[in-house]
Amino acid sequence: MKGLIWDEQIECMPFSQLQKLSETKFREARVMERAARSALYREKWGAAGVVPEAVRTYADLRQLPYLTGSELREAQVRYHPDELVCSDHVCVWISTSGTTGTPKWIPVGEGDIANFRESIRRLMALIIGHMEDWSMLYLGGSAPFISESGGYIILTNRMLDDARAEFAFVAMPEAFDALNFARIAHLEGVFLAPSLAVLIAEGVTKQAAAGAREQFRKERSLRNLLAMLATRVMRIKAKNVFNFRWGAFGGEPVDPYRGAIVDHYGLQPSSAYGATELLYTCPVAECMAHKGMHVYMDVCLPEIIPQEELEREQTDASYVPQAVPMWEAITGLTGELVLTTFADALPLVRYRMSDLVEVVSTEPCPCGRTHPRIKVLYRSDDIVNMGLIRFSIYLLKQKLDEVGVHGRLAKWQLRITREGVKPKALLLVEPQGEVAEEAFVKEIADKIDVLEGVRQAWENGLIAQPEVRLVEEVVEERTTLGKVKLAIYEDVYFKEA
Amino acid sequence: MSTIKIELEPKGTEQLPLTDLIQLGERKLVEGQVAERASHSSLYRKRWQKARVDARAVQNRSELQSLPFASAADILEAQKRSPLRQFPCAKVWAWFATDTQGDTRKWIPYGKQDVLRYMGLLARLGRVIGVAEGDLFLAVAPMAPRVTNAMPYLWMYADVLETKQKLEFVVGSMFMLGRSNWPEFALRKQPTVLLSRPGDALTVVEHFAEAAGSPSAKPKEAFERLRMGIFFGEPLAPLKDDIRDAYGVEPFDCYLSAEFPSLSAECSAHDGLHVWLDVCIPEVTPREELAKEKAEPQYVPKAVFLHEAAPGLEGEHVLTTFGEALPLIRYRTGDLVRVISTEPCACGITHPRVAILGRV
Repeated sequence: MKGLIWDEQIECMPFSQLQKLSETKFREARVMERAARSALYREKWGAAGVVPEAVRTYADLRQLPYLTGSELREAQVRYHPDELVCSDHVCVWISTSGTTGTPKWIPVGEGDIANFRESIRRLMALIIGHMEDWSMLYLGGSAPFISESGGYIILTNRMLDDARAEFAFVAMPEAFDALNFARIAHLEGVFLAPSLAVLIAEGVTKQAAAGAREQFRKERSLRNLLAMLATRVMRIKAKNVFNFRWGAFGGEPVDPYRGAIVDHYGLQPSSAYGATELLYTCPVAECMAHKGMHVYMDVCLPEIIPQEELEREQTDASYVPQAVPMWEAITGLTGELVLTTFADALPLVRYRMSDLVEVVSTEPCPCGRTHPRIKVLYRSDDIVNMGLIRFSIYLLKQKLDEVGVHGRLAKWQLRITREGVKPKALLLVEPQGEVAEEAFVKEIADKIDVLEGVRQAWENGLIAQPEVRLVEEVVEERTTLGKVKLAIYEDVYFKEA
Repeated sequence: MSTIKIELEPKGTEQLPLTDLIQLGERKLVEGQVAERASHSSLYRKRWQKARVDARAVQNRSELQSLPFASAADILEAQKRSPLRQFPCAKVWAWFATDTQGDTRKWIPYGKQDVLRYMGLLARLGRVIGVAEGDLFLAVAPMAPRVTNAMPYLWMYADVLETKQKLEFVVGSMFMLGRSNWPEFALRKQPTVLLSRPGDALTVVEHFAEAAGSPSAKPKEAFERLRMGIFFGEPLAPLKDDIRDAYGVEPFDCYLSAEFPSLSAECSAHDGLHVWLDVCIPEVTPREELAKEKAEPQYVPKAVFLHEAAPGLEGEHVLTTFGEALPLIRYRTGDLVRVISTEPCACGITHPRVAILGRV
C-alpha cells in the first residue's frame, strides 16, 4: 500500500546514491568536529590518534573505535554530564530505562528539536500515509523517558506546521482509562508498546460481557441492551470497541505480537525503533508496506557487525569486529546495528546499539522508498530481552549462584520462548545430585522472580509465568567459536521473514 | 527553525492600567463571540436553551452575569450524556484530564490557540518571577494526561520559540521515583529552578538525601544553585515553611487547573497571586452567597467581578475564559479565594491579586 512520501527526492533516491548522501550529510553536520568537544570521545580518540577534521568519508570513519553503551555510562560517571555535550543549548535531558542498572542520560539540543520537525513529517507520512487531520492516543512512559517528551514535541511540531492533529497524551499506568477515552473520542490512531496492546485487547475480550451487563444495569437504554446481547453471540475484540485505524508500536520488537494485534485490533501495526539515544535524531520506522523498518541514511550512517564477527569477539576480547556498511549489506544479514548519528547535542559515532538486527532488504520497498529496511531481532549483548522486561543474564547467574537450600544447580540454560504471544522464560536446570524437587524448583523460581519487574510482569499478564524445568542433562549450545550460550532464543516470530 | 506567534498580549500587558485591562477583557469577550461559540458545546447548549439564554446578546460584562454558572458536575454530566464530539466548540489539538474522581474524570479539549496561550502564560510566568538566561529547571512532573504534565515541555518550547533564554530542563516524574535515578542526575546537574507540586517537593526530599548519600541532608545543602521554586497544583501556603526549610528557595505560588491553565502567579512581592485579566473575566461568589445556596439549593448565588471586589472578600473563584476549544462561561472552579487587592502591586503589575485558600 502506498501513501504520501514526504520528501521524495531524499526518500526515493536511488540506492546507489545513498552512500554519498550519508557521507555528505555526515560532513555537513560537522559531526566529527562537534563530537571532538565531548569528553565521551576526546580521550579515546586522542589515544587512538584520531584527527577529527581528517575524517571525511566512510573509509575514514571505519578506522575509528566503536562506542558502546557501557562507555557512555562510564563517561557519565567520570565526567559531569555537561562535559559530554557538543552543542550550545540543551533543551531537555532524557534517559534510558537502565536495563542494566544505570540509565544513560541523553541531552536533546535545540538543533535536535528543530531537526526532529522534519523527521516527524517524514515519519507520519511513513506510518499513516497522509499529513491531513489525524487523531491519536499517545500512551507513553513517564519522565525522564523519551516517550513523555516525545508526545509534546510531536504536538508542537504539528502546530508549527499548522497541520492539525489531535492528541490525548496518557502515561502507561493509566492505560485502561485512556483507552476508554479513546473509544468515546473516536481516536483513530494509537501509539503504545505491542505487549501492552495485546494485554489490553485480551482484557477487553475477557471483560466485554461483564462490562456490557454492568453498563445495562446502570443505564437501561436500547443501545446498552443491544451491546449486552451482542456479547452473548459474538466474541468481542478490541476492534469491536475501538476505532483505531492505524497504530505505531515501539519499545520492544513488534513482530511477535503482529498476528495478535491484527486479530484483535484489525490493523497492521507499524513498528518504530525507539531507542532513546537516537529517536530525536535518527528515527527508524516501518512504512505501510510493513516489510521492515526504513533506516534513513541522510540522518545517520548505519553499519552492521555480522554475527560471526560478534562471536569471534566473544571468544577473543581483544578482537575488534569488522562492520559492514548498510549499503554493502546483503539481504538476510544479521548482526549488531552500529550507528553514527548527526545529532546536535550528542552525536553518536560508531555507536553499538546492542540490538541484533536483520537486513530485510536493500532493494526499493513497495512503498517507493529506497532507504534500506531492517527488523530488530533481540539484544546482542548479555541482556535478556523479553519485550518490555529485560534483565542481564549475569544478574540471573548471580541469583542462581545463591540457590543452595534445597539443592544445587550443576548446569542451567535459559530459553526465551513464548506461550501464545507472551514471552516466556524457560529455565532448564540439571541438578547436582539429589534434590527435593518441588522445593528446589520453587527456590529457583523465587530467584527469577526477584529480577526487576519479572514478577510484576507475569502477575499482570505482560509475560507468561517463568517455568523452571528439571532435566537429566542440559545440552549445552555453543557459539561457532565455542562460547557457551546461557540464553537461547527459541522465538519463532523473530525468525520469520 | 520556523517562528510561530505565541498568543500573548504585547509585553507590558502586565502593567496596563486596571481600567484598560477590564476593557481588554470585555473586548475579547465580545469580539471573540465567546458566549456564542460556547453555546455550541454540549456543556452549555441544553442548559442555556432551558434558561432561554440568547448567547448573541452577551455584549458586555454585565450581560455575562445573566448567564447561568457552569460547574465540574456539569462537565461530567455533559460528557456522560452527550457524544464527546459535541463537547468542544472548535477543533481539538490536545485532550488533558483532571485527576480521577471515583471512576470518572473530566477530559478537557484544547485548541491550538489554547495550547499556544498556555505556552505564552508560561513565558509570562518566567518573566514575572524572574527566570533568567540559562536557568536550569528541575521539573517534578505529575503523570499525563494531567495538564501539568505538559508544563516543562511547553515551557521549553515557549523558550525555544519566543523567550530565547536558553533554558534547560531535567524532568522526573513522581511515578518514576525509585524506578529511575533522576534525583541523582538532578543533583549532578544542580538546577536553579524547581517546578513542582508542593507535596511532591516534600516527598522527593528523602530521595535527594539518598542520592546525596546522606540521609539527613536537606536539598538546600545538596542544591547549591537552586534559587527559586514554582509550586502548582495545590495551595502552597500550608507547606510553604516546610519547603523553605527543606530547599531554602524563594517559593512562588502558581494556580492553574485542567479546565484552564490560567497560571495565576505570585510575583516577587509575594502578596497574592495575580489573576491575568487579559485571559479571563474572574468573579468571586462570596461566602454568604454560598451559604445561602447551601441552605436553599434552588437559590442562585450572586457573584461579583474580581476587579470590583473589596480586599478581604472570600468566596468561590468563578472564571469566564476566552478559550478556543472550550470557553468556560462563569465556571465555578470549586476553589476558595480571598481577594488580596485590586490595586497595583508593589512589583508594578496591575492585575488583581488573590490568595487560594483551598476547596469550597
